[in-house]
Amino acid sequence: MAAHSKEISNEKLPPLSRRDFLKLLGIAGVSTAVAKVVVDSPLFPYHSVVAAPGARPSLHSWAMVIDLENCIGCDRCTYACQATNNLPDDIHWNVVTPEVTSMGKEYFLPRPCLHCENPPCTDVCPVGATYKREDGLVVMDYDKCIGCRYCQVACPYGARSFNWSPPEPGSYSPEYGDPEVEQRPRGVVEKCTFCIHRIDAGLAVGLTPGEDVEATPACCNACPAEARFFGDLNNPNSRVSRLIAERAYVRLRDELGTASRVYYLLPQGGL
Amino acid sequence: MVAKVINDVKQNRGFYIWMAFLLAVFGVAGVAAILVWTRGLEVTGLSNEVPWGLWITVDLSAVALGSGSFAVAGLVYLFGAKRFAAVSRVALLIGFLADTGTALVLLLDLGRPDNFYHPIIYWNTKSLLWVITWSVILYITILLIELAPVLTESKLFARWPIVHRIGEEIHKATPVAAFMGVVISIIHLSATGATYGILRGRPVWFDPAMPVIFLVSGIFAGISFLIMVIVVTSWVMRRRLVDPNLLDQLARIAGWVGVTCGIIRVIDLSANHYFSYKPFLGESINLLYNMTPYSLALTLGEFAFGLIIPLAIFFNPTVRVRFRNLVLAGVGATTGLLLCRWNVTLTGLVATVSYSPSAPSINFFSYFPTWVEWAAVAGVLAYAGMVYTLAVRFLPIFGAEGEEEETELAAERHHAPVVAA
Repeated sequence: MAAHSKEISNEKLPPLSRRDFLKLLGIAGVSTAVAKVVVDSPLFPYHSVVAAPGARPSLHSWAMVIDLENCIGCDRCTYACQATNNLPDDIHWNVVTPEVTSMGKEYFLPRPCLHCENPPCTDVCPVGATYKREDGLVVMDYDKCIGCRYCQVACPYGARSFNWSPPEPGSYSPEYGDPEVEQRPRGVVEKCTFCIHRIDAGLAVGLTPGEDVEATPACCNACPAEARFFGDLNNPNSRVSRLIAERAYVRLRDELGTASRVYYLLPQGGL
Repeated sequence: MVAKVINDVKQNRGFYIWMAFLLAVFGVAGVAAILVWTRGLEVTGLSNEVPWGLWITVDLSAVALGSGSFAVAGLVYLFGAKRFAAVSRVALLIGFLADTGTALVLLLDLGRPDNFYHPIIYWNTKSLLWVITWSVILYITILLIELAPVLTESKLFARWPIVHRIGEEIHKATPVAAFMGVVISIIHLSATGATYGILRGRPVWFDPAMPVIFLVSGIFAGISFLIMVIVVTSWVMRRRLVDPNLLDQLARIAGWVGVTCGIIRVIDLSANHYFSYKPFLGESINLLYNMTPYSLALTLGEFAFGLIIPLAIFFNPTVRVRFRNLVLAGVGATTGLLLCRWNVTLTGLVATVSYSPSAPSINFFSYFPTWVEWAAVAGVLAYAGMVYTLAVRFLPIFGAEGEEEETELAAERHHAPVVAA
């Protein structure tokens, strides 16, 4: 009975007018736009783990390989970093911590910035002061930075440091500052850059980063124990590509989907 | 002129004492602000491990407590409940003070306050902090449009009728502005929660329900706070400012929002801690239980003060008749909101997961705000208190000036039979 009366009432409805049709079209358009905005927004949980579609293949893809078996924990990578990047004594871009494997074997874990393929820090920066270069390096624009420290909160590795006080020359860097690296004012966040000033300058004069010392990050040059290598993953014959292909490696907190560019070769006996 | 002022001081001694007190707080806060801007953020208790602290908590709480403004605007302009227009001006004023206060605190919290305008010219639309910055800017603009008639109707501009007409013209945009304000405020409130909810590196925070929790708990606390402010103002001014029946209806609405908030909180807690396993979440929380009063005490406090006490009052018609019970509910809801925000902002910062590949563990850091941080917060509260006091005294916030001259006693007497009926 109810169904019958419903049919009758349906017949009484006027046909769809042009105005109604245009309205529907408008609603469809607005919903599509809203859906697009929602999918692109930071609240949408799924996009950051997927590589951006149509991303341009870069000429280089820099990576660092750290051999946990060879590292002796001498801290020379840290000292080289302090000297090259003009760091004050209270800021460390590279840190080495003693660790123990599940078998009880001691090893040392050096940690530069991991230069994630999906960096949590660049997504949260309100002004885009930290961004990913085409070759995969995550770098800072100190002039844009407003010092909100959201990137520090977002980084799962604690790889970022804030300039709480005006920068002072550290014990390892020359007093006049290294003219090659950009100086950082008080109030901005800074982090390891994989020594882009050495990489870019080296490439400009035809050197190969990772093979020529002048174009390689200072920490890799300073390592006395053959524990730290740098190179181009796009070149299958580079030392880093071969090491990754031959040996078992781990990336820090890979479960977060950050896909970092620092590969840790496992010590003998595993972790 | 001087005699007039002296007479006014004699008549309103409380007003001048209150103003002097606020000015004294301003003095201390000014010293703190100058310290922060000249010596940098090293004068705070923040560190690389705990880069955010008290100021961010205050921002989040202020935004939530000001959300009564868009709740009332939504009631009036979206749900067509025109009777609530009587409280819309005071609600909008509280929203304005909350958002401008937030902007002031943010200005202190930046490492480069000279670059504060960068989010306006350099956009990163993926960043929730960018969303929040733009929400604050747009919502302050909208509130200025909505509040324009309050300024232009006041006695200050009585001798220039053109000002009054401009105010009326701007006021015509109010329905559109109110709608935009509701949309932007919802985005703003939920973005404050999502700021933490998206941080996958921090297990205590990473939670897709965070934006919803912040939105609903914010609206609940915002309406309760609004009721409390109206009642306290009418006590201080010894005048009936708003129809008690209207407050009663607002209290009922707040009650239902509170129930929604409680349901979402319980579902979220059980989903995270009982029905599923999130790596390191349980461990972090356990560490916090064992080493600090954080988290457990704050969560329990949030439920007790922020939900149980206010809901017991809001859902009991014979209890919510009394104005002092409404104030009690407002204090409870505000306390609960502060505990909730403090819980969220602090726990995820002090308990983080180490990046060790072989034995990941929970690191524990500590943070204590310095006097500079407290003084700056007090200064912003004093700013809000001062503007509110001046506005209530000199601007037509509660209807036209001089109207409804009734004593508090009459208000209470008037109140009782309406509800009993």
